[in-house]
Amino acid sequence: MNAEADTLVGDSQAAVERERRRRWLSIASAVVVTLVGAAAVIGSRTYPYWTPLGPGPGFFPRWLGGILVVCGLLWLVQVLRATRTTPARHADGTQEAVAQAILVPEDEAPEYSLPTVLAIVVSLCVLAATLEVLGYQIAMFLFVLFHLLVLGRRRLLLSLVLALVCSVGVFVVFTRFLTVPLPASSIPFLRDMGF
Amino acid sequence: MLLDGFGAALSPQNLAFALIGCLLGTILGLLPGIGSTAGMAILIPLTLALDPAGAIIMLAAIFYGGAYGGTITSVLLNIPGEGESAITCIDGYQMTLKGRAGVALTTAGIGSFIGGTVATLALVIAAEPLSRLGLKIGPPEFFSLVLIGLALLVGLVGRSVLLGIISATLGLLIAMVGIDPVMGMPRFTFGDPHFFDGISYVPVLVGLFGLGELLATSGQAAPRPTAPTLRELIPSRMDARRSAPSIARGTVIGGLVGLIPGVSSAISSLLAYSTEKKVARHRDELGTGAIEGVAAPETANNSHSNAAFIPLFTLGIPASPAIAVLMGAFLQNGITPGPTLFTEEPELIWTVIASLFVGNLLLLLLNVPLVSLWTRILAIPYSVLRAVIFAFIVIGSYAVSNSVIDIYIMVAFGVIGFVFRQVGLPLAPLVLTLILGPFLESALRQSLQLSRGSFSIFVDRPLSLAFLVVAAVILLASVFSASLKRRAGLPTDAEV
Repeated sequence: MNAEADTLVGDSQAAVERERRRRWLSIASAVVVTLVGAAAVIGSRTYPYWTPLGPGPGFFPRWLGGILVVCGLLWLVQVLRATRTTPARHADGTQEAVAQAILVPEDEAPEYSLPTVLAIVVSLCVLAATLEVLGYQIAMFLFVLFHLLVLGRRRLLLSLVLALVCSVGVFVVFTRFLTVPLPASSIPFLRDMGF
Repeated sequence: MLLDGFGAALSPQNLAFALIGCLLGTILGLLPGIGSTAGMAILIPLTLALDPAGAIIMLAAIFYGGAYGGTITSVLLNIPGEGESAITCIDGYQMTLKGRAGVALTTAGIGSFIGGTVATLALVIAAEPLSRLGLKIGPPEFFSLVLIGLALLVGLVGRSVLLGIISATLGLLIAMVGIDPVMGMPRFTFGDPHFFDGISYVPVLVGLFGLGELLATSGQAAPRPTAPTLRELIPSRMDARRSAPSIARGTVIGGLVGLIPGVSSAISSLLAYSTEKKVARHRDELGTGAIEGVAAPETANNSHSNAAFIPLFTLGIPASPAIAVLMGAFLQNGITPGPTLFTEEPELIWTVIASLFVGNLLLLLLNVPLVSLWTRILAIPYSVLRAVIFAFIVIGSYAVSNSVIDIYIMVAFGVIGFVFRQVGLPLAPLVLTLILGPFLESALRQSLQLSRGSFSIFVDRPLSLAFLVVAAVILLASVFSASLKRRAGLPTDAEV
């Protein structure tokens, strides 16, 4: 088998893997939608549904929750049926057209990299958690440095300069000139140093 | 009134805001994956410290600056920055391959200017009579009218009607958080006073459109543009003669379609392109780099974008996701767009309308000569741009109410936006109902209070009945014509 065929097989395997992941995500999303609807119905029971003046605060959420439960279940059924009836790849490499409109066709969903997605989400949460502890300048400095050095594999000097601009530079511009307050550190030692 | 508006819009301060908005919007529009809706969402926080007129002038400028940025990538790189420029890729990129990128971009710029200016003129003429009509519209009519917009959005641009309904309902439910608009009772606040004012739009929009898009495209290698030769920028007399009728047709198509709530400008550019295919004199050349294929859709989408201000300013209904984000910015600044604007805030509204003219002109004067600068921005490594954007969206979400909770909300909605893109849930209905939710709920409940709880009020009033019938027809038609729609090649999601 030559190299070109190898990459083709690799590509189609990756595509099948992505397809499978997306289908599970659809199923999970449909379940979450249903649960959110149910939670809205249950949560809105504490609010009056009807008042002498007409519908009360509980009226709208209860109906919306009900619609979500129904639609979420319908979606779940559609995805499950699509999962079962989607034809497998034929031996000659062609694939039958998937009739179900409910699943996103392969070429339409953008490509993402799961490790990068996780790294971004976690780093943003860490930034949010440390923002008021370390102060904006230190937290943002570390955040930008992480993104440039570790995720972006940029040169050290460029990363340091950019991180300084985004942290200290932005802090000065926003707090002095735009009068938008950004958090200072809650640790006295750091705060005294001007962070 | 309009002249006073021009006086205010041309003040150095407001001119500077329009200028900055145009530049920032173009830069964000250039970035792959970030369209003008995401661009506006990301830049809303920047406008929080400004006065309302300045903030809205800047956001409007970001809005059409972003659209032009999308055109640049379509023509030069064959990558649509957003749905509305997707069709421009076909002939625009062919023109680039023939060394005529400069002509294509100039023509798009001129077409956008003409389309936008004509649509804004229509806004000036229609504003007062329509807003008088808007004032007569009661809660039942408003409710039914919004349903038309939702039906169109769910039916026309979604992959599946079911997913559109789910998206719209989720948006409404998110809008329920906070103090209920009729009785003042806190709902779904988890006992946290932070949520009494509701979940603020900015972190939600920044998360859904900004972060969500960046996550969804995180696996893509950034495109590396080869700087095109911009030998000629000025279209020849032949180009001008060929594109003039296309620009005229694009203006009319975009202007009319832009009035319909719920239809995104991607539809306008598609319609304009298919019209060219049918009626243009050189229609055989379309697809091989014909100037009509750039002029018509680009004119149509800008004409659409500006015409979409008409329902927003006169009826208080945002016609597209981008306009919905703009409406969110209005609300954030304490202004409720709608017919009352003309009587309550005439100075502000006319300043904004005048600035639409100014902005369209700025876009033409600025962006066409600067094309080579814009292509150089595309050469900045993506990871660097991304880090800077992350820093910016974090600051923006925090600054809305100086709260870390808003950063978490932004991240959470970023993940939600990412999942939406993966499973094919459309974002457009959610944004529309998120912004309109409180208005929709008050309209429904006020109607039912008027009728003492009887739903017949919606069918007893003729205008409301007419709106409801239209909405039902649209929804039913789109359920049954889903396969037709796919065959016709209409886009399966709104431009985001």
